[in-house]
Amino acid sequence: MVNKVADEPQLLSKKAGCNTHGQDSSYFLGWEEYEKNPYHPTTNPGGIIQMGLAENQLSFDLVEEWLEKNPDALGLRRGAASVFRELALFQDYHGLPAFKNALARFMSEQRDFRVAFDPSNIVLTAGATSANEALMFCLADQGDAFLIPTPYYPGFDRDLKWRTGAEIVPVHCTSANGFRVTRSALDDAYRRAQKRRLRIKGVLITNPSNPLGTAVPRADLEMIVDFVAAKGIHLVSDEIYSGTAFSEPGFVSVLEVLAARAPLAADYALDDRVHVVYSLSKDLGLPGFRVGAIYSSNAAVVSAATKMSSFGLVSSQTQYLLAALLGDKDFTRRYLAENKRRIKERHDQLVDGLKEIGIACLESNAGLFCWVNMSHLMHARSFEGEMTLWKKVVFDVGLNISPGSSCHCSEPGWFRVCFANMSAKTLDVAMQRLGGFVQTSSCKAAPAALRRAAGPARSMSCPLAMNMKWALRLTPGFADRKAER
Amino acid sequence: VATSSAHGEDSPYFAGWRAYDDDPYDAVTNPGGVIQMGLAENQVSFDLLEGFLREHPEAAGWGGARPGSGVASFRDNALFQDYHGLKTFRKAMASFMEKIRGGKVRFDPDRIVLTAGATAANELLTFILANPGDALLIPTPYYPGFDRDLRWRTGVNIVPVHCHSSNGFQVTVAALEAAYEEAAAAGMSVRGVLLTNPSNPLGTTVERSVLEDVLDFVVRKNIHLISDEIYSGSVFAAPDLVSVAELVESRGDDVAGRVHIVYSLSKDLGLPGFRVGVVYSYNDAVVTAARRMSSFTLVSSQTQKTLAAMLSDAAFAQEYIRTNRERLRVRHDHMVAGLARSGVPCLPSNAGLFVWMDMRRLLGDGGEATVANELRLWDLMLHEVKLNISPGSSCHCSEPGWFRVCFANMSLDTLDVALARMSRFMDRWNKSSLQS
Repeated sequence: MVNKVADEPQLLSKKAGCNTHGQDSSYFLGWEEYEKNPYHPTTNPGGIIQMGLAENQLSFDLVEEWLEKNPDALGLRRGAASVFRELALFQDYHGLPAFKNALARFMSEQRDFRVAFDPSNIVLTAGATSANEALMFCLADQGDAFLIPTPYYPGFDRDLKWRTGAEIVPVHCTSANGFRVTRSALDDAYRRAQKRRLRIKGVLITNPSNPLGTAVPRADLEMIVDFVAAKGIHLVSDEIYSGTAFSEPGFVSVLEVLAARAPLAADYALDDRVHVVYSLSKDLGLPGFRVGAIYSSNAAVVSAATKMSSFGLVSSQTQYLLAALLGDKDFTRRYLAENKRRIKERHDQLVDGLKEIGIACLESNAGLFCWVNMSHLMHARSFEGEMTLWKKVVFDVGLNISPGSSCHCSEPGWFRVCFANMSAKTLDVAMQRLGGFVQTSSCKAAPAALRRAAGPARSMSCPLAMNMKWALRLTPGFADRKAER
Repeated sequence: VATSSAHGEDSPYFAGWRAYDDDPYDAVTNPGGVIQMGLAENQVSFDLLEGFLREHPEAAGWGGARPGSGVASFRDNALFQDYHGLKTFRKAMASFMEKIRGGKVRFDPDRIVLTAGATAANELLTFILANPGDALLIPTPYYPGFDRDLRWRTGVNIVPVHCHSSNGFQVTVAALEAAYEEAAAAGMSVRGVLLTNPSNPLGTTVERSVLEDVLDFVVRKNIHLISDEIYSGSVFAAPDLVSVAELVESRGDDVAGRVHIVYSLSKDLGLPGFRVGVVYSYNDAVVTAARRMSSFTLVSSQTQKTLAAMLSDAAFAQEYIRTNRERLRVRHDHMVAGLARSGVPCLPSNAGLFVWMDMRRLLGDGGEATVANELRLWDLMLHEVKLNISPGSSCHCSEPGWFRVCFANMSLDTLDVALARMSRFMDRWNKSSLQS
């Protein structure tokens, strides 16, 4: 059915027409290339290896094993009785009590029980994407700003700004101190926001960090808490990767810092202003199930967010399954430990593999990716150089990695490389390919098309400027990609 | 946004709910409790769904997932967060929607955008079609939830299109024009009309000629039409549903880009907990924008998989639709007959999970037909007769005295208890009217 008449842009809202949805960034372009030519060890060994997707595929067998032993959870039964009817009707935005209780306990267990979570302070949402947006609606009005340390997850540009009309002001972090947030960087961002006459409503951090893969040090958390206390603003801590912290110093939640500084917290009513976001998409590898949560001690926020969750409730069928899964203490204990062990193993494989070919990573202790320094491979130490290098890696080497510029990194040459969404063998192949590329680059040979084991030759004849490419892609129908982290 | 009261939770719609929650009817443990007749849920056909799941246990699980078996493995399903939605599920939804319309129209699975419920679908379309401060025209009476769903976070306004019992509350061109003028006078740019067809709370299907008029109107004004067809599977008596899809197919390019359909499995399948909504648009730009926006409200892949299995079973789907309709018809007829015996008329209706009950007589004549009196009567019904029904004013009805009364969310026995209470209430009322 053709739709000529209403194609005129003015017939849709400004939100529909603008590209704050971020769909046109390089983050998604690499994805498109991958989807056209995905690697497969036997059927397409020359294809592109997806290293731009922060998925956790390492521990499914543990969940599958549990599912086999617990058929009731899937079969919507409770012993002899069917719970189908009850679940089918259950659309209470307060969430399934059994699930919230299990989730509260699970979140506490991830923090080694150093923090207790009150289930009534949990708001369930369809994924962290929904949780982050809902929090923005609750904390910020159109034009208000949140300060976010760079580099940050590209999806935030869409999730936090698109429909809310909120602004993001970046807090610039540099490699000089391992991209840690400093007080001066926060102050600088705050000043810049003020210059733009923006009302600053809060700071949003991701801890452990995406894309850095580092757990935010306790001292840094304390500094950030002091900052928001002094400014009288909110702090949102996206702790979606909390279960992926695999080595010391371990993950410290902002809630632990608050608890340890109770007098400060009371003076500045910090409990009312610190909010945590969580999801089962990374730790449990269940992004398809759409399970996110907002955790806040601010009753007004919980109340508003709960009502808002009507726009993105978690399927009761899924809540029931996960209530059983997370309610099984034996399972959660074993899962958390084994999952971390496997993540560390894969992480080490990547880090060692890169080291062997002369590529360094930011030292990391969490996450499903490494923050890799490939600046020495750029022909020019600029973002243009980064893009050129990125295109080579995607099209010639056949690895879809994420360029730091898509994460708003202020220094060119850094890339996020995921390692938990592929087998160890595939990771080996990726390292071999990269090794070959590095050799060629260091020989300063003409940019020959790179050898993958087999597969169609790909070359970027007359590459277009990135913004030209994007302009072409503004028409609908292109790159409709699952747009997740 | 957080602090505004546009979430609408201070209305009678929710107050009645609370009264029910505090004192819920139970045949055995609380026979004097409040009977919930304010909740448009469909509980009449669960056995059919349960039967399917019993016979096809693999639908709920991931057993039998061998390469080539066609059953998605657990891990593939758990990883699947593509905002295009599971292809098998979209196909199943498209075919289900076609069956509901008697095969009179075709739905393209690639135009289906999945959302976590119709609540999300309606909000999403509003974000896409209107800017903050703009207006949508909605015929009254309408579903109270729209006040929140369409306005709260979007900043969009609703301008009511007043309908009257004189013509069975059908929308007229004059009413549409009047609402349009009202919006313009208030400085609001009208972006579209939102119809619910079949109507909530009326329980009636929209006549073809009225749909044509509405389409002519949106073309004339160069605006959109959203047709919320969430109750499309509940048409149990003539006339058949005329979906706006039929008119798009017959009128083509003239209207296609302006028409968007909302659907959900919450009413027809009785699965509000599973959160399955659909935005179906004939406008490519809207489909693209909706798909991207659906990232905020995706349907659980676990649920997509289970329902894909169920709705892809053509024989099951067809039988379900037929049986569900028949059961709703029985419930409806039982309710209408019972109310008639008590001297309470209803708007003649052929769809939905409720009747639109006419209690205007009880408000008295002339100046007593006020919203205040309607709410007094509602309060009486809730606290003395112990029936939670929805006052027409909460649906923005321009005539006081009408109430929406649900019949599909309780057993026939409970329905009889409710009807008996109504009967006794009417007896008392008639006696006291005679005396005064």
